[in-house]
Formats: sequence, structure tokens, C-alpha cells
Amino acid sequence: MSPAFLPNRSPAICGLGITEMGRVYGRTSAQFAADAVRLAVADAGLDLADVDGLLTSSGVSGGVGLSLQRDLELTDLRLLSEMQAYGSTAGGMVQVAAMAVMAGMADVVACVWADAPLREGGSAGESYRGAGRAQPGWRGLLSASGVTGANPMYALAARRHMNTYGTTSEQFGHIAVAQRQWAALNPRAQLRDPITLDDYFNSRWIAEPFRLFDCCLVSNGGIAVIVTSADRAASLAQPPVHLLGWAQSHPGHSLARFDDFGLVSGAAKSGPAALAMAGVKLGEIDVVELYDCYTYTVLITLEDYGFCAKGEGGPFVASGVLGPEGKLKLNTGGGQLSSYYMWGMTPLSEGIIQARGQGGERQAEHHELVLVSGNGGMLDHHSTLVLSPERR
Amino acid sequence: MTVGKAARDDTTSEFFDGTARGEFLIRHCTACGQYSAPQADQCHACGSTQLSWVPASGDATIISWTITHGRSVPDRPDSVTVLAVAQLAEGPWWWSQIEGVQNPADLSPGIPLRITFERPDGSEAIPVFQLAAKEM
Repeated sequence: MSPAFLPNRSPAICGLGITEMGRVYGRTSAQFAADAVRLAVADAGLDLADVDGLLTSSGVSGGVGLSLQRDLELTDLRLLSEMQAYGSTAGGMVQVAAMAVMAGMADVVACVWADAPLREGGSAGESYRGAGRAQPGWRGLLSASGVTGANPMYALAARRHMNTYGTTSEQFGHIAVAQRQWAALNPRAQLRDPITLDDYFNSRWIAEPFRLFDCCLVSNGGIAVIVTSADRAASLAQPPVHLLGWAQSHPGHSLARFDDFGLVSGAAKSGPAALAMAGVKLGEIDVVELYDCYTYTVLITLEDYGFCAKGEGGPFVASGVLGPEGKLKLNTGGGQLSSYYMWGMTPLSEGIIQARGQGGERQAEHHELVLVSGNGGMLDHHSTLVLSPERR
Repeated sequence: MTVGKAARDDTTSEFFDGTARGEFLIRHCTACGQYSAPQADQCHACGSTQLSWVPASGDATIISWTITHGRSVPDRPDSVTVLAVAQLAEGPWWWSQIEGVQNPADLSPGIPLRITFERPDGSEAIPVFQLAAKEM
């Protein structure tokens, strides 16, 4: 016997809460998370007492877990869990929340992610290097060998893409320059000064082929999203953002002979699956918010989603399609390269803003269909969401 | 030498016994005969957990490489390090430094490497790569 789903329980995002971002000190990740939930609930026109589901996650500083329920004095929750699939978590939380709402298991689910890795006086690099501190066992061996943190692993992936398909640094640079142009139009962006391709080539090496401007920044802060039923969202404070389709893909690299590490990501399966659930074609997408831990991640995701053929991401991003004047409305808030680094919450938050039509100077004229990606691990985890201001 | 220090735990003791002898041990499936990476608990080809430890040949080829700038190893001075992911002759991949690279611009996929070992004080022996052809 199948579960008796209630009619008209299609899911929608009704609230978005974004705390102060960047070099904001003196608060823990748990405090940022609580602030983000309070902001999101207020944004939706709800009360904390309306929340009956809570999904939490955090970045390298950790600390956003089940105790957030107590911090927010939430009682009688019907759904509570901490989730972790790295950069794909934000999308994954919204998917779980949507399915809980569809099933009638919960009515108002808060999904929150926060992190506070930056210390006053410390560099952004130091804040993330801690993740690779020497440990016993296999991880310790990898670290002792010099392979620490995400930079070298993604650099190895990007170099393989370059060697296989002829992708160039200049092509990566086009992504960095275009996203900074968008960031200049985003009041929340941490980096808003325009950069040129020369600036890109003059930025210091991090892990070749990556220069500083290939890499995301690091931020303290938190973002929360509230998911409810489309019916309930229709009577709340903000324009509803409907969840039309979603998917995940976790390829499970074998890391042995014939592996496509660096060449194909989980986006290749997650993207088409999410579009199929939504019943829309890629060509109908108006706004694209892609996870961008590095410029390269944007390029491979564009290929895997099918915006261009495999291997042609480089020429595609250099063809003039990017930036506020380009025809592809991509990472319209500046992304994690230039706005703020909230893992999967960065593309998701900008996707919600664009779907609502609240992007101000950077608002895309057409925003009926918004595609949002999340990517985690070493291209190991992927989530996709298809958002729309229209209920279909 | 720019390797850090590594310590053994229950999962790595046999591997580090091997590196102490100058051997790079990998897993050999007694069911299907395929080789898996040292950290594997099950055969990547057939899923069997009947794995023995065998010395790899030590031959590998470059899959990809990166040159990291800055303090890639904690508590050591800023440095430039060539890191690679390489395919062992037996099939599995391994990540480590390539030592002694004079001309990084000449690196390319498929270049042959050899595994050798660094032995920092107070650490297990750490496998690293060297170029199989010394002239690069």
C-alpha cells in the first residue's frame, strides 16, 4: 500500500535568512545558524513556533547540530537531523525538507548552514588549512605527503581537464572576471572591485593551475531557507519559490585505472535527472547558479549539465556568454569567488533571490526557471534544484 | 625534503611495516587476482574482502600534477612542491610529491615515475615519487 499523500502538497521555499557575511568575528557557527533561522522565519512572515522541522549543517568549524533546536527553543519538532554531504548539502537539505512537506510529515522546515572558520588576524588560507592537519592513518599519510586541503586536489582535477581537452588558464580567468562583474552589483558581496584578465594572471599562484582569483574566498556567516507547502507559501510574506525538480549524484570515483576524475562530475547525472523531474529542458533555464569553489568547478558543471559539449567548456566560457551583459545569466551574485562562501547556500540563496525577482541591479529580466547546483568533496557529491516563481 | 610526519594506526600498520622495508604494499585480491589501493578494505573489481598485502613494482605514470605555492605542510617554511596523482603499474592511483623536478614545465601525463621513500625523524617512512628518467 502506498502512502496516502495529501493533495496540493507541492513544496516551495518561503523564507531566506542571510546573516552578516565575511570577516565578522565574535560569534560561533551555532550563533550564526540561529541568527540565520530567525532571519529566515521573519522573512517568511512566520514565527519560530511555526517551525516543525529543522535540518542543520556546517562547514569546517562544525558546531551546528541538534542542539540548535534548544538554542532556538523549538518544541515538538517532527523532523530533526544534521546532514553532511559537503558542498552538496544545502541542496540535499532542501530536497529532504521538500519530501517531508510532500509527505505531510512536517509543514515548515528550516534548513540552515553556518560556518565561522575565520579568526581575527588570521588569513583565509590558515582557516582552511586546519582541515589538513597531520593525523594518524591514511589521512595523515596523505597530509604528510603534501596533499592537504582542497586546493591541490582540485588543481589536479583542473590540470587533467586542461591536458585532456586543451582548457586554458585564460578561459578560467574569464569566469573569475565575469563573476566579479556580477559581484559589483551585489551589496552583500565581499569582493566588489572589478578585475581584468591581466589582474587574474597577476594574482599569485595557489596550486598551479590555480591562481588566487581561481579560488573561492572564505566567510564567516550563516544562511537559512524555509521550505513549506506551496499552498501555505502563497499566503506568506514573500513570493513563493516553487521546487519543481531535484536530484543528487554521488559518482563514487574508483581512483584506479580509467577513472574520469577531473573530467566528469556528478552534475552529469544529477542535472538531467532534476530537469526531467521538473519537466523542463535545459534551454528553458533562465538563470544558473553553480557551485564555484574554483573557476574550474563552474566550467566542468556547465559541461556536465549540457550547456556545451564535454571538453568545450573552455571555449564556451570565453565566447562572451558570461557576465551581466552576456546571454547566460550565471552566478549572478558573484558566487563564492567574489560574494560569500557559504558552500551550497551561496548558489541556493542567489537562486532564491533571482526567482523572487529581488536581485536589484543584478536581477535577471527572465527568471521563470532557475537552476542551482551544489558540489562537494572532490567532485564526489552533487545536488541540483530547479526553482521557479511559478507553480506548475 | 618537504614531507611531513605520519603516524601509524590499526589500518596502516602493515603498510608502514612495508615502507620501513622500502616496499610499497598494495592489496591483492585472492578471489579475482585484481589489485586495489593500499587503503582498500574490499577489492574494487569484485568486492571480495579476501585481500592480501603484496609489494607493488614501484613503477607509476603521471595522471595529473600541481605545483603548490605556500606552506602546504604545516609548521614548515613556505615552499614550492610538485604534487602528483599517478597510476601505479598495477592499476590503483596514489597521491604524493614528485621530488627533484628541475623543469616543471616539462611534466605531462604518462611520464614514468618511481616510488621511493623519505624517512623523517619521528615519523613512519613516507612514499614519494621520483622521475624515472633523471634528466627532467
